[in-house]
Amino acid sequence: MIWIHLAIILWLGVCAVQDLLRRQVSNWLTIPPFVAAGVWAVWHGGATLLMFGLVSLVMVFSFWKGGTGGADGKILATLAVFLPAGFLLAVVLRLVVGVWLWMRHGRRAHFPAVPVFAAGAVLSIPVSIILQGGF
Amino acid sequence: MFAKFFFNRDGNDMTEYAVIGAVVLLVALAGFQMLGVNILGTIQSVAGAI
Repeated sequence: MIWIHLAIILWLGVCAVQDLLRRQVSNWLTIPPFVAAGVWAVWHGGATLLMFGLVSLVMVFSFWKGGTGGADGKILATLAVFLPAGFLLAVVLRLVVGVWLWMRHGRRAHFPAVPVFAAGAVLSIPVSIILQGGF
Repeated sequence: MFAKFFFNRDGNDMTEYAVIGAVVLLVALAGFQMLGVNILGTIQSVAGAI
């Protein structure tokens, strides 16, 4: 499990740098993992498919309303399937950062979300160690 | 709409949508937990097979 954890953090790190620099993430970085997550979710079904569908639905709706980027949605859905602890922390951090920026800059302020997701994935390492005694 | 989402490269979130989206997902997770379904734990055990 540790290699997938580290691979996802490395992938998120590259995506986060792109997002910080350009406010965009290349499709070659987001589409293959998103498709892999979708195939994995359909293959295993159950909770994995339910979560992938729920996150995708929420993010597509948010994208449709103009509130979020497509890269953010694909990355969060991928995280939900392959690194659930990181996904949970990413969502919590997204809430905290969103509330903080809303209070400082208003409800229509924008921020690059992928670094927030990457921070959640990184934080999931110590959290996993503390809660489970390892990965 | 899904095709647009699929090929869109934007990485920006608007604060209100980030907050509402995060709350919706956390409430859903809490709901599953209250129903006795540890959804993230189940996904973790499936992903652990990689």
